[in-house]
Amino acid sequence: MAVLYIPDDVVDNILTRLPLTPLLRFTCVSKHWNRLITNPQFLRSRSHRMIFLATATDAHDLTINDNVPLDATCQYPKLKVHYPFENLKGDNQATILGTVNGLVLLQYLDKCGDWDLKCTMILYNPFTRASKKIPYSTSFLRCRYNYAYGFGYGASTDDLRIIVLLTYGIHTPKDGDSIACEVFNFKTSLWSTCTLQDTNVNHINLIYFKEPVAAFLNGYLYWIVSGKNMLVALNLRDMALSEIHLPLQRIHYRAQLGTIHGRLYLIDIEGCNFGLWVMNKQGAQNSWSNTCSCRLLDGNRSYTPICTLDNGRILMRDILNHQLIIYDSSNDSYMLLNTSLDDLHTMRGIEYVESLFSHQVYVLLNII
Amino acid sequence: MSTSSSSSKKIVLKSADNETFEIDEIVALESQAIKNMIEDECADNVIPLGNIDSKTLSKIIEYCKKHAESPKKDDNADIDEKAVEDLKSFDAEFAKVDMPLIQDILMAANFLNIDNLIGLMCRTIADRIKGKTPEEIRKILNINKNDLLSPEQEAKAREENSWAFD
Repeated sequence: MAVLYIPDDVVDNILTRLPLTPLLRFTCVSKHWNRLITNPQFLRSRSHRMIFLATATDAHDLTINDNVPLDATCQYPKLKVHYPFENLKGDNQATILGTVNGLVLLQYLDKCGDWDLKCTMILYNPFTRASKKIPYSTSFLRCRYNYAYGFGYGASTDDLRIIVLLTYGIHTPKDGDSIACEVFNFKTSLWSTCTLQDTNVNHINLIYFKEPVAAFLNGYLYWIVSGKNMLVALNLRDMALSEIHLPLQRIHYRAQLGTIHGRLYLIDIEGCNFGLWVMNKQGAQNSWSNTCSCRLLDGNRSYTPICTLDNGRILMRDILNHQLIIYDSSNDSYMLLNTSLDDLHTMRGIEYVESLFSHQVYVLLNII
Repeated sequence: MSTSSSSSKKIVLKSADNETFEIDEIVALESQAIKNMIEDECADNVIPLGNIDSKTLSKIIEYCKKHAESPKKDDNADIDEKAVEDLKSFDAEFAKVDMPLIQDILMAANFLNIDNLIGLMCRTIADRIKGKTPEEIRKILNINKNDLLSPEQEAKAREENSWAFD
């Protein structure tokens, strides 16, 4: 049979089965291929969720690809970070401050004097390896322990911002002191200070964030407040900070906040009982639903949740035995993971959605 | 080509090079296009397939026979995992042919509207082209020369995605 031209709908069928990197390489194959691959709807449909496992002493992002079945012997597929700046390798501590639309905000900390740390932020796209150094803000030379960070956007995706909250934490605030807020706007590439509209948060100046990195979801940044049994949300549209209704009496110190498939979740552990709550509607009171609660294996008190995976599975660490465990709430089973990671203690699980969307949109906006 | 159960209804397919294939109706029904013809009663005893050669057609029949014989997912909720595995390895073996034949099978499957086979061939092609350069793709898939980007557009597309060429 003489080879004819493959019909357009069949070409589409082939392209949907290609990984992202070759797809972008193939934008120049023909007009039809170019049209299809750069179509925003097609790009969105190709997003792919995974979990970054990041530790405070190791910026070499390890990933668990959440879409493949994990088994006890599997090694983590590693996503190699192509270091954008050579001088930031070495001994710098690195953290992921957030991920939005396929972009990752990295932070490198450098010792600067005895007490202070110099903080460098880099916006990074792991797939295109494009990166951009964020200009320094004047306040970055202060002690880091009072900071909270957020990365997200308010009304629209091009309104991308970095939020840094400076709270007084361990220091005693003077009368009239409030939480200070600095915002980096990617459109103007400038830092500015901003006054928070605190609506219902008591003693806002005494807030101390349990985990400095916020969970971002649909225009809101969320943090757990240490010791105060409180969850706060910052609305990026109007910069109002408010306290969020909690699904439980008390949040314990091993609690974790995160996002999964466009919803906020909270895992709390008290002793060996733990529960997973998912927030159904943003801003609504009592909108949490308890997805699972149970008692951990052998009353093990050393388990700490890291993040939720698909299908009711929860990734946990067992500090005592230095192990990673996946708990499957659907059948109450545990699986030990073969891990070669050193620093489980500071490990965080961050939802990352691989996306070509950011490549197309943010490149055009000159954001990265 | 004769089949095991002689009692069932037979359909005869005729290839472009005038070879005839007698198959069970149930095998032919894997093709949505043939199924529609039979249901609309516009199928004669012999269905001529003027754009499919005998080599391609015999591969397609091999595929349809295997898939028609396998238990369907909706028949039984807990189908034998072994049958699923068996079909998987059959598909993998089936796709181990050269690119021109893959494309012939794909075009024929598209004409006959055999969903699973279209999917299998598209997956196979995607797998084989993912490491290739755009020039190689144009050659392998016989891309229409009238549909190429202008040199300026091509340079721009390459520039924007330069990282993907590393």
